[in-house]
Amino acid sequence: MARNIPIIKIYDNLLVSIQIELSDHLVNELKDNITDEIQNTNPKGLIIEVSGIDILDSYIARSIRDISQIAKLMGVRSVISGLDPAMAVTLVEMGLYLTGTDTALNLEAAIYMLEENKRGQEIDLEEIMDEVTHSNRERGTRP
Amino acid sequence: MNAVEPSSGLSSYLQEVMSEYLSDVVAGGIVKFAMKRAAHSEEAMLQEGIPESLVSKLKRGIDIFVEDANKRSDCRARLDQLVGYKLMGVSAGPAKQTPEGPSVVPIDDEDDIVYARNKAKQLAEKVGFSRSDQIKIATAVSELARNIIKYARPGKIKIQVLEQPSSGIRIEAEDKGQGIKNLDEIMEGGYESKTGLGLGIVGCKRLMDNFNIRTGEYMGTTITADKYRG
Repeated sequence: MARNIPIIKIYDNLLVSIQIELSDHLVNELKDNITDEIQNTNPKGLIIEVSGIDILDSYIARSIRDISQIAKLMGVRSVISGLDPAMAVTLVEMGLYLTGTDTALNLEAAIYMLEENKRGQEIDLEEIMDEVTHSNRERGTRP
Repeated sequence: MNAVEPSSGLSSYLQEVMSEYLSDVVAGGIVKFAMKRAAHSEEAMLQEGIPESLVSKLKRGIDIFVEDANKRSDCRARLDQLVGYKLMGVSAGPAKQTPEGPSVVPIDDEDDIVYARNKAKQLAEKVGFSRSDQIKIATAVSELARNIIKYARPGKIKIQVLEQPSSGIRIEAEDKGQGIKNLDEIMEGGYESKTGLGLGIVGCKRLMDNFNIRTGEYMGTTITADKYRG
C-alpha cells in the first residue's frame, strides 16, 4: 500500500516525519499506519517530526496527541519534535495544550530523549535484579 | 473545490453573487437588464470596476424579486460592497491601489479546509502580517472551515482584505445549517465535543481581534472575525 507519510525504522525507534499538508484524511490514515507499524516492528520509541507542517489546528493537534497516547498504550514512548515557534504560540493562545505528551525542540533532541529513556530503563532493571537477588539471599533461597 | 475567482467577467460574478438569493435565471436576467439600463459594457467595467449606477439598478431588481426581507437586505449589503470591485490581474491603474475583492472558498469536503487556510495564509502574507499572525489567521480559518464540515456542510468562507478603519483581514464563515444551540456553553470554553477539543469557535475568537457570531435555528450561522495589523 502506498503511504503518503512514510514511517521509517531507525535503530530502535520509529520516525514519522510529516512533510506534507495534513488533511483530516491523511491524519486518520497515519493513525492506522502507525499502530500497524508499531505492532510489526516492536520499536522502543516513536518520534513524530512536525517541523514540516504548515498549520496545526485543534483537530490535527488533537489527532497527533491521540497518536502519541495510542503509542503509549502500546508500550511505546513517543516524542513530538520540531514544533514551529509561531505554531506553538498559536496553540497556546487558542488554549490548546498537548498534555501527556513529550516534546522536543528538534529531531536530535528527540532521539537523545529516547536514548536517555532507554538507558534509564536498563539501569532500573539492573537495580531491580540486584534487589531481588539480595532479598532472595537474605531469605536463604537460591537466586 | 476552488475559490470563486471571477475569471469569466464581472457580470457573471455579479450573477453568481445574486444567484445565492435568487434562481440563476432570474439573477442572470436582472444583471443583463441592469447592464443595458446603466449602459455599461463588460469592457468598461474591466477598466473602471463595478460602477455604482449598475449596483443601484441591481438593487432595484433585488427589491422586486427577493421576497424575504432579511435576504433582501443581505443581498443589498453585499452588492454595496462590490462597488468599485475589479478583476484581479487586469487592473488599469497602479496595482497597489486596486482594492482586492473578497476570496470566497466553498466549503464542501475536507480538502476545502486545506484550501481555505492556505488561501487565508497567502492573503495575510500579502497584507503584510507577521509570520505568527499569518499562522493564527490560517488556523482560525481552519477551525471555522472544520466546523462547517462537521456540523453544517456545505458552507463557504469569505476572506477579505480590510483597509478601513485599519488594515487587516476579515474572515467570514457562513453556513445554512441548524445553528448553534449551546452557544453560551461553547463560548465559555468548557465544552468538549466528540470530534475536537471544542475549541473551534472559541479558539478562533482567541486568535482574532474582533469576533462576531450570528446564529439561529433556521438561518444558519455566520461568523465574522477580523485581525488587524500592528
